Amino acid sequence: MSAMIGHTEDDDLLMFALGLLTPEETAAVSAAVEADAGVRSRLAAVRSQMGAYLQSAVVLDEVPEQSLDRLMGRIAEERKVVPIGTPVRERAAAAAPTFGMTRGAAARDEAAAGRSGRVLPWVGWAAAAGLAVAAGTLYHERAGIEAQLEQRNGQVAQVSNETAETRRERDAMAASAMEQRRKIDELTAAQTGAQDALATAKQGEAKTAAQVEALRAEAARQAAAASGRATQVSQQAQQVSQLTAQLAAAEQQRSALQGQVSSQTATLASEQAELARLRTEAASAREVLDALTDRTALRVTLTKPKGKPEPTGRTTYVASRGTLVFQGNNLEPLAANKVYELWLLPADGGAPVPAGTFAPDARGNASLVTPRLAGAVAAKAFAITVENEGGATTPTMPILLVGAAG
Amino acid sequence: MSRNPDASDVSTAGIETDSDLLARLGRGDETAMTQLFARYSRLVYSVALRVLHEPSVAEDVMQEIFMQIWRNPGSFSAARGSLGGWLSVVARNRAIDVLRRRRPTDSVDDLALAAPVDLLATAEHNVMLERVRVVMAKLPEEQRRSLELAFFEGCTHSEIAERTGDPLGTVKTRIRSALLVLGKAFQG
Repeated sequence: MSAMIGHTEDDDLLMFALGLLTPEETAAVSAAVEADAGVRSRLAAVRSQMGAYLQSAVVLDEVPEQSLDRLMGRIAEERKVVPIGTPVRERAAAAAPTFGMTRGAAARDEAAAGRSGRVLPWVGWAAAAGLAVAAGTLYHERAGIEAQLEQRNGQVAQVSNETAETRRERDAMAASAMEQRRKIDELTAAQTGAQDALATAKQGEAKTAAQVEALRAEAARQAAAASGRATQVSQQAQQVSQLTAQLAAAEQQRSALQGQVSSQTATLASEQAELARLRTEAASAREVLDALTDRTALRVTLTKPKGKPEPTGRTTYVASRGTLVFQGNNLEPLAANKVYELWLLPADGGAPVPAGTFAPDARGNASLVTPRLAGAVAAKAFAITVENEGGATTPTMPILLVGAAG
Repeated sequence: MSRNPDASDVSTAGIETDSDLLARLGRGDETAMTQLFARYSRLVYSVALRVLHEPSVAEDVMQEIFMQIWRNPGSFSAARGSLGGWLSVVARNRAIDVLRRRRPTDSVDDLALAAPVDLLATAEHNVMLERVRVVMAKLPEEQRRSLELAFFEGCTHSEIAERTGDPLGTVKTRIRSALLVLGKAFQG
């Protein structure tokens, strides 16, 4: 550690600042610090680092309760006991050497006493001298005491001044305290005002909240009503939907029934038509049969004027009914697009009336039945011509067969 | 103020500096004492408690330090360093004295701290403290442990060597390295 005096390391300064060196080491570093301004400033830097380290390393705790009260209590007590504080003590210490002088005078008395003991003839003078010395000493002491007194007076004056100064400070502090009290009152008043405002605001808030609550309830009620209506509408819609479905089903049924009815009606119509046809046929057949069996029917056999075999035709005609039956024999075959046509020659001499067309079979036989001849009139004769297929309205010459009623 | 109980904290900078408070203390203003206590009592108490582990004893140390500031507010010159740093060193040293039951080794007056940063440069000061905190957290465990033994348990080099079982030279090297890192962080 002796090297430290010449060359003090920072870590030695640290241990020094931490008070962790031996007394010898401490003395050595102290000497270095005293002697070297550079070491002093390095020591200060190390102490700064210590402060920073401590502040960063320590987790802050809360101080015990009443700590501040205790401190302020001690301060108040110290103010009471020593109103002016340390300067008095310092002055007392400074005054101490003055008393040391008294001890010095006593020593000189002893020395003087020793001398008087050894040199008896000089006792009286010595005594006188001693007294003089003592008197001188006393004078000095008196002077010293006077000086002390003077000093004390000065101190007292100073103390009075300081007291006056302290009083002024106290007054100033009192004024300051008054000012603070006033500020506190102002703040309290402001706080009260703010609290009132807060209360008012709270009331307003409560009112608003109540209104909001009422509106909310109303809204809820409306919502419930709307919900009810919605349910009704929904139910109605459901009913409508059901009815629509039923209607559709009914419509379908109706349509099906209509179809049935329509088809039955058609069937009925066709059956009725068939019935009517059968009835007509039956009537025609009866009329033919009646004509054939009628005793009043005119029966004529027609023959070719020359040649053999002779083509012949027989016509049976009931003029009152218009029923006509013709039968032909030995008729000559015709070209493909030709037919025979029978003509009624009216008795009144009118134009020949067409009475039907026919074609002969392979043996030359043919028959024609016309149940109701249109424009049936009394006949004087019948004639046959060859016409184009489909018949004609006027006979085309020559007349192949002819027969007169007779 | 919760983390860095420093007078130059932004929240208080606008109100009154530590120097202002100390000046008012010099005029016997007790309200200044109340404010100073609010600023630094937790720091002083916590440092003492870290060393002493006894709340009542730590509180006594704190009370004594604040009484000394009251009696002699001029002992700290704010122009020369951070009041927080100064108070934490004083608190640590008083607490170690109590721990070792011996008379105070140094008087409050002796402890002047260097001021590498302007006290009023609050942000910078707080940044520095944060930097120190980060650097210390990264320190190797044995270095950090050695520093803690010296600071909070008052162990000398040889006592640390005895406690850790490491050679004295190693212990010294560790503390020297830790201090170097600390110094660098402190200077930025």
